[in-house]
This record gives sequence, C-alpha cells and structure tokens, in this order.
Amino acid sequence: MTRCLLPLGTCLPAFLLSFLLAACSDTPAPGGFAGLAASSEAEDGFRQPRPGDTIRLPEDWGPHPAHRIEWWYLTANLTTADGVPMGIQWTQFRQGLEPREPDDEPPAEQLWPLESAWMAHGAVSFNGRHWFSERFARGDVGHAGARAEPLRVWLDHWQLMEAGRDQWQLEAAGEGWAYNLTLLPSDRVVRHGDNGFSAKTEGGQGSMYFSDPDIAMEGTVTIGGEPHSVSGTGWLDREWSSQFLRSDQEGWDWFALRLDTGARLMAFRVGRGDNAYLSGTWIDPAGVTSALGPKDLVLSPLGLRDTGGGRIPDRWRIDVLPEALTFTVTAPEGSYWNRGAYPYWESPVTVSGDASGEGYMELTGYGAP
Amino acid sequence: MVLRAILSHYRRHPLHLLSLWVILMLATALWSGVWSLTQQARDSMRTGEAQLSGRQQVVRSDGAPVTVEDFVTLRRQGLCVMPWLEVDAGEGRGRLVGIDPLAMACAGNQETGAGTSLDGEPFVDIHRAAKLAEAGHRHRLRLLLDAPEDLSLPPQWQRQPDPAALSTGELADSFLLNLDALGVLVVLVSALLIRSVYTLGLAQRREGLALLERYGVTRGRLQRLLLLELLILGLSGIVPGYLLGQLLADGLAGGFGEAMGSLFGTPLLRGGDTFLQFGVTAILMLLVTFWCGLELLRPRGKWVTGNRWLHVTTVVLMMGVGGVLVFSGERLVAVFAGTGMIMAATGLATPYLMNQWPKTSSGTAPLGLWRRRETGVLIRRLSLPLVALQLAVATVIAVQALVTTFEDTFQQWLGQRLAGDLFVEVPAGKRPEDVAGILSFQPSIVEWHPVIRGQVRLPLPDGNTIALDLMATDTGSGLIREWELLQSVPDPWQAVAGGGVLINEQLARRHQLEPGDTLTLQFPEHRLSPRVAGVYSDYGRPAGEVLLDHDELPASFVPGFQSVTIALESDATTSDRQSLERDLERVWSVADIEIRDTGTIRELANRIFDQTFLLTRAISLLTLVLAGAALLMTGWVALASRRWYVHLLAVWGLRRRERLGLLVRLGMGLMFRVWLAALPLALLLTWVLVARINPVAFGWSLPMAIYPGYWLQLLVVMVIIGLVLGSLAARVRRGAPVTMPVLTEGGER
Repeated sequence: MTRCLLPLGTCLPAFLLSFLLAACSDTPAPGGFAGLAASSEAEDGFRQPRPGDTIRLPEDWGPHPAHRIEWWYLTANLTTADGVPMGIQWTQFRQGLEPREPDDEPPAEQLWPLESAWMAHGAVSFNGRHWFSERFARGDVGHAGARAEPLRVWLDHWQLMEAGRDQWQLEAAGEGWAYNLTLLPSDRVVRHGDNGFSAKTEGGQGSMYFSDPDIAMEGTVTIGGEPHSVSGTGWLDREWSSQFLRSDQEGWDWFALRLDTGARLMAFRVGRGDNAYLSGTWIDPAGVTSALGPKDLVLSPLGLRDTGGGRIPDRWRIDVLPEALTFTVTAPEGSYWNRGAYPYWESPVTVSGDASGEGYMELTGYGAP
Repeated sequence: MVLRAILSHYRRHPLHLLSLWVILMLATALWSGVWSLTQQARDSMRTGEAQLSGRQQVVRSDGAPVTVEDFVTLRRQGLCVMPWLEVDAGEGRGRLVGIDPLAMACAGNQETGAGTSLDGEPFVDIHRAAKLAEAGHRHRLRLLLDAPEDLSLPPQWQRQPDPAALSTGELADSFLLNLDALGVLVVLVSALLIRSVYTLGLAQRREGLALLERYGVTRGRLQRLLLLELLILGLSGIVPGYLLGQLLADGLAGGFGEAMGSLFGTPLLRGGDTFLQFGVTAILMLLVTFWCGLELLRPRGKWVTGNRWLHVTTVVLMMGVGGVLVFSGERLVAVFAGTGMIMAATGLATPYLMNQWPKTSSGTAPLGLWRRRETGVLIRRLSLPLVALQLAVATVIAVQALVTTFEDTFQQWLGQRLAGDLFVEVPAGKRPEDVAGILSFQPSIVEWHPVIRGQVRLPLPDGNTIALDLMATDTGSGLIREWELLQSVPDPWQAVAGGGVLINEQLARRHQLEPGDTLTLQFPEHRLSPRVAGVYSDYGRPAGEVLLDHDELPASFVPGFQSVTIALESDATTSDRQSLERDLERVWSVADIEIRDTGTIRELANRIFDQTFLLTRAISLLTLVLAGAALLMTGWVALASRRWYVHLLAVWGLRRRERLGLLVRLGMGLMFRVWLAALPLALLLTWVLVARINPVAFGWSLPMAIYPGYWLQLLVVMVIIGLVLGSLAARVRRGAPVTMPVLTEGGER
C-alpha cells in the first residue's frame, strides 16, 4: 500500500476513496492529496473552514455534508475493578465525495448512493496487548450515519448514542473484544485554535475542531470472552474540514493529556523537520483555555521503540513555554499499531515531569507493521 | 565464414526456411492462444470461487424480495451482509452485477482494506447498477451472507445457499482440463511437426556439413553454430507467433466468455500477466525447438532406428498403464492422463505398424514394388508429421462425435423440459396458485403447471448435509408426464403423485440411488423420506436435483424461484396472449410481468450450447489444419530428397502422366493409411469422452454414437492432401538434373 504522507485525519478518509477505486472502476475519482490541498471551494463545491468561523452546538455534533472530511474521535483511559489500566478507542470518519448542504434531502437509499463513505475504528489496549478492528460503509443507505440531536453516530452495530439526559452509550465489538460503556459528557467543551478554527499550516489552512476532554465513563469491556468492569475518563474530539494540509507535511504526532492538577493539554505536530507545524491548547484547572502556537510548544522524541514495523518514538518531552512546564510522555510496553487499511499508532500514555497524568498519543508516518 | 556456409542451405532452399518458420510461428500462436484463454478462465474461476464459494444468501421468511431496509436492519445487528444487485444491462450487453466494496470488507476472506478483486465489468459499483434498475432494467437484489453456519438469523429472515455461488466442482475442473488437454495436444503435435521439418532439412544438409568437417571445422563448433541458428530461428518465430496467439485468444474470448458465464456464472476476466504469458510461451517453444536440436547431438549414423524391443516394451507398458487409468480412474486427472498415455503409445506404434502393411502386401511387379518401397521410406521419414496428423484426425473425429451426440441428446431433453408455449416468472412475493382460477378457465389455454424451485438439504451418512436443487410441480400435468425417464419403478408418475420423488441422473450416480430407494430430504422445519420413483436425465450442469409434487412441499418451504408453464391452443392469437398477460398482472397486482416464449428460451439454450463447444471445435480443427499444412510442407521436402528415385521412373520409360498417376497413388495411399490408423484411436477417444469423462465430470453419461459420414468427409480432405503431395512429387522431377545420393555411414536410400 502507498504510504500515506499526510496526517491521519486526511489520510484515512482519503483511503476510503482508494478503497472504492480499487473495487469499482466507475467510482468517482478523488482530486488526490496534492489536489486536495490546492483545491478551492469553487472547484469542487466543498465548503472550507476559515478563521472567524465558529462552533455551533449542539448542531456541530452532527455531520457536515458540505465539508469533505470529518470525524468523531474518542479515546479513554480506563481502569478495571482490580486497578489495571486499560485504554479504548472509538473513531468514526466520514469522507464526502459530493458536497451537499445540510438542509438538502439526501438521495434515496434504493439508489445505493455514493455521495459519502464512512469508516469506523475500534481498539482496546490492555496488559501490553492491543486489539483493533475497522468497518466500512457508504453513506445515505442507512447502516452508517450521524445526527446531532439526539446525538447518534453509527456504523453497523457500532454506535455512540444519547441514552438519556446528559448520558451517552457507546457500543462496539470486534474480533476478540467488545465494549459497552456509559458516558457522562462534561459541560465544558473546548474550542481549539481561534474559537474553534484550528490552523494546520502557516498559510492558515485548517479545520474546525472542538473537544470534550473530561467524559466520565464506566461499563464493561470484554476481552477474549472475559468481561471486565471498567471506569475512567474519555476525551472526545470533533473535527471537520475540506482542505487544510500541505502535501509536503509528512506524518502527524498528536497528544491529549489530562494532568492530575486538573489542567488539560492538547498538542500536535503536523509534518516533520523544517516543515513541521506545531499547535495546541492549554486548559487550566479552572477551564480557561489558551491557544498554543508554533512558538509556544516544543515536542521532542526521547527514545525509539522497535516495533517490528516502524521505529516509534515512544517517549516524548513536551515543553509548554508560556506555562514554563515540561512533561515526559511515555507509552506503556507493547505494540499499539492499528493494523487496518492505514496502519497508525494509537496508545495510552502516562505523563511525568512537572505534573503527572495520563492520556493518549497518536502517531502516523512512522512506517507500517 | 563457417556460419555463412551453414546458412547457405537456406539460401538454396528458402522454402525450407519459410516452412520451418511458419510452422514454428503457427504452433506458437495456437499454443499461446489456448494457454492464454485457459489462464484467463482459471484466474476468473479462482477469483469467482474465492469471492463466492460457500457463501449464502439471506431471504425473507415471508417470501417477499429483500430490500435495502433488510440490508440495513441486518447490518445494524452486526451481520456481515453484502448487497449483490444483478441488472440486465440490455442491448446485448449482458448482465451487470452491482456490488458495494465497502460493505464487502466485512467478509472473512477479505483482507482488511485490501479492496476486492471483483474489478471491472460485469462488476460495477452498486450505485450504477441501481440507476439502471431505476431506469426500468430488469434487476434482482440478493443479500449475500458471510457468517458461521451456526449463527442464527432473526426469525424474519432465513439463510439459503446462494444460487450464484453454486459449487462448480468437477465441471469447472473438466472445463479447464479439457482446455489443458487441448493445449498439451497442440504442444505435442507442434513438437512433432517442428522436429520433423527440421530433421528433414538436416538430412538434406548432411553432405554440406560433412564437407565442412573435412575442411577442419570441428563437430562441436558445427553443433554450437547449428544450435545458435535454431535459437535465432526459434525467437524469430515465437515473437510474431505469440502476438498472433493473443489475437486468436481475443477472437475466441467473446464466445468463450459467454460459455463461462452461462455454465459457471463466472465472467471471463480479461487480461493477466502478459510478461508471464510470453515468458512461458517462449520457454516452452524454445524447449520444443531445442528438442529438434537434440538430433545434432546424436552420434553419427543413428538417424532413425532405435532399439526395437525397448520400443515395443515402452508401447505395451504405456498402453497398459494408460488403459488401467482410463478404465478405473475415478478422478478426471487420471482419466486424462491415461488417455494421454494411450495416445502417445499409439503415436509410437503407428509408424511401425504402417510400415508392416507394404511388407505383407502381395505382388512383385516392379512398379508396385517401387511404390511399396517408397511408401516405406516416406513413412519412416515422415513418421513424426504422420503421427501428428493421426492424433489430430483422431481428436477431431472424437470431438465431433461427442458434440453431435450431445447436441442430439440435449435437443431431445430440451424438447421435454420446454414443453408448453409460454413461460411466466411469478413476481416476487406472489404465488402461482393465485392465478390458478384464470389459467384453468381461459379457453385459449390447454394445460398449465407451476414450477417452484428452491433448495433442500440431503443428510449424508457422515452426519453432514449437502444442498440439493429442488423442483416442485404439478406432476399430474400432461406436459410433465411427457418426460422420458432413464430408470423408474412401475407407474412412476402415480408413485410421485403419491409422495414419491424423481431424481436427476447426477444425484443418482453421485449417491448410488436407484428407483425404489428411500431418500431423506431435510427442510428447515421438516424432514421427508420419500421413495425414489425414477431417474431423469438433466444435462448442462453438475448439481443434483430432486423433483416432487407441489402438494408435498412443506408449508415452511421458501421458494427461490417460481414460474408457470402454459400450453396454448394451436389457434391462440396474439390478443389471447395479451389478454392473459393483463389478467395475470391484475390478479398478481403488478405493473409488468414477463411472459417468454419457450421457443426463445430454446434458442438461448442452443446458443449457449454452441458457444460452449465452439472453442473445442475450433482448436481441434486448427490443430488439424496445422498438422495437414505441416505434412504438406514436410512431404514436399521429403519428396525433394527422393528426386533420384523419382527420376528412376523416367529412366524406366514411364510417361509423365503415368509417373504423375503413380506418385498421386503413392501420396493418397499414405494418407489413407494415416486415416485408417486414426480410426481406432478416434473410437477409443470417443468412448473415453462420453463414457468416462462425462460421468466423472458432469455426473451424466451420453450414448456412444459414431458418425461414419464425418469420417468419410475427413478421408476426402486427406486424400486431397495426398493428391497434392503426389503432384508436388511429380513437379520435383522438372528441376535440375539429379545425381544419385551418396550413402555414407549406414544412411538410408
């Protein structure tokens, strides 16, 4: 498979297209990644987020058919009743192939329309082992979709849905694993970047991006037929865009950390070396957010782990310069590759240094297992 | 200088070079064409089987057609269900299959995210197929299921074996083995022909090569140069031959693809690895070419003869082993291998046997003696092309006998199966009995009966069950009772009306069932144990089938397909038919039903049948043409080397006309012997095809029939070849004055 040179967010949905193209020669062709970066709203009709755009809730929990790509991305650090840490991931991506205004009627399902494609990823990390599954669907047929009110995001029998007042239910199952979890979202939604517009390049390309970093979770995770009662905290990202990356930006390193002080940190690096673009959000214990720009963050790999596929930087030093804080982020022992259509690393992490804590780390562009 | 001297032979005999090159090229073309098609077929079947084998479909328990809503509901319950939308593309474009590659990713045999290899027409994205369906093209949605056998479905749905995924088993093997066998035959015949042309030319060059040796050119160097010459010649023939072969494959692929689609439900996926195909072709043909070159490495003087006892032992052994394999082999490969051994042994024995004839003939008149001696020499010199021609003639006769027998039997069977005038497909969700009132009281209708098709399972002694096709009908119908049965209990139709069943020949052979035996049929909620009342023939497919009266069907049975067959009064008019159509649409409450003439269906069946055997006929005929053409060329070259002996006839005082007559008789006699030698082999091959290969591959046998009229047609063609050969030999005399050949080291006169 062609190695994807771009951050996960665009790589995975774009893969859906290549998947379709591999199967049926009459499926519409994508513009390609370079084309994606260069395309404009006038050319392909997809709406492009711009600085000044704002987040509207609860509508923005729902899909954005006028935009090309979006995802619902949940990671959680849980603990079993015995106190053993466990990580879970649930993600659902949408790739638009034809833009549509939110108020427009969707095409009839009898036509098996192909205006969008969906992909879902589920993973469980426990005791140094990692289970991963993925599913695919075309949009507008009915077995995959999303809506804002009441919140419901589903693909086949995997779903995140509102299950009562301020309560969500998450269900997914793959080979050897399953989870059924109750989520209590917090009342503090964090808008990243400029009031929700998160730049990804110096040139101002970016996405709309908000998160709920403190979702209380509990329920059951079944591994190899054995149920485990778990509880902990999750972090849910919502992000959508149509174009925000340069074709020369290789790889993506993303961190979502919850510190014991009550502070939260989201930090990412798009691209490597001179082309790298850094950004993040600092949320202090009182919930006050500060956008972090390229000059406010330093992300430095401290060590590499040979995973038999690619060499993964499993320890990082993160400097948050405005706060004068330095953390070390470490992935637990094991291999946390999501071996799907597009392999990437998704692992729980622990934080040490000026503060301790936990979180999740996502790395792309480091080879494939 | 030496090379120029060696190659000067071709300057003096350009025809020899041309004939060698043409045969090499044609042989390459024929083989690469057949091989290319076989590879395409094999790849297509492998792909189709990998994607579809063992797959099941989900049907609704209420018998209504499945919809998108069913798909969504089942997927939301976590079942790996995949849509499969078949659409008649119309205007002769055949059938398109709409698939959803994203939905297919859940199937167990899919590598995660690797996409699907169902790439290109007839497979299209399901959206495109759905748009055609919306535009009014006939279509049918299936939901394929990839789930363990023990996984239960919600009660609104049931699982059924997917009819599109019927295991083609031995039938597909037979189809491919047939092609492989034809390919081997082509290589065998080609090798014999190329070698014969080359060795004859080499005989002509003996004196020149000996002269070079006397001038000090070592034998080793001569051999190397001659091998180099062969290599260049081989490559120059293989490249255009390969290209010609691809054209041939393209030309045959249309009909071939149609045959594959109709027989196996597998489209012919074009393409393949061109580099691999060329590589294999080039290596094989170079091997064949260098086999000719082995002649160069033999010690001098060992030109034709060998160890007679070794020869006889080899022939007897091959005949014996081949016979055992053919008579007792239970697998197709064994029967094919045995047949190949018998053919090869026959080829080894033929020159010896043909040579015995002149020796046993009476008469010692000088001209008769001359003719017999020359015939003997020609048989020895042309032994390889003569054997090639013999094999080709035998194959053509056997293939013709098989196809004609099958055609006759198939026509008779089709006549029974397509009794009646109209064939109406019952719309999904409707029942044939809904329209019983209309059909029974329409004055233009003589008779009618419903046909309900589906699947039932047959428990096996080992505890497993296998799927059988099931056909239920009104067995009291006169149209059904016209069926001829191969075996039956007394008054079989009465037995069927009383709860017995009829089974097809395939099922009877496969499970050693006979009339009077009891059969167990496993339905989803019922089990029946009817008695077998008779066995009927059922051509063109490998599946086992059981036929029972529709009143015996359990209520829980979910039909896969239902139709009504109607026989009209002979004076029924078009308006009668239109009125019937309107009445059926009204009662079934559908906008459009399809009524088809059984004549049209018969035409379609015949067309598929023709296409199925087109390739077999074409290749065997092309092989015959190649062998005939090669024999003409080699015969010409061989006779040219006999100029001195032909010249003797003039010396003896024979006039030109008498010489021509004598030579023509010589050529025709030779061809007659080949034809005669081919007949026993042809009979054996015919028997093997109808009595051994058919039952093993298809599950049904055919009566053995021979067609002497066709033998005589072939004889005429061969006599013409002999006539041309004789005429050519007479023309040889007109050349430059001849000299008596010098006999060295035991060389032959």
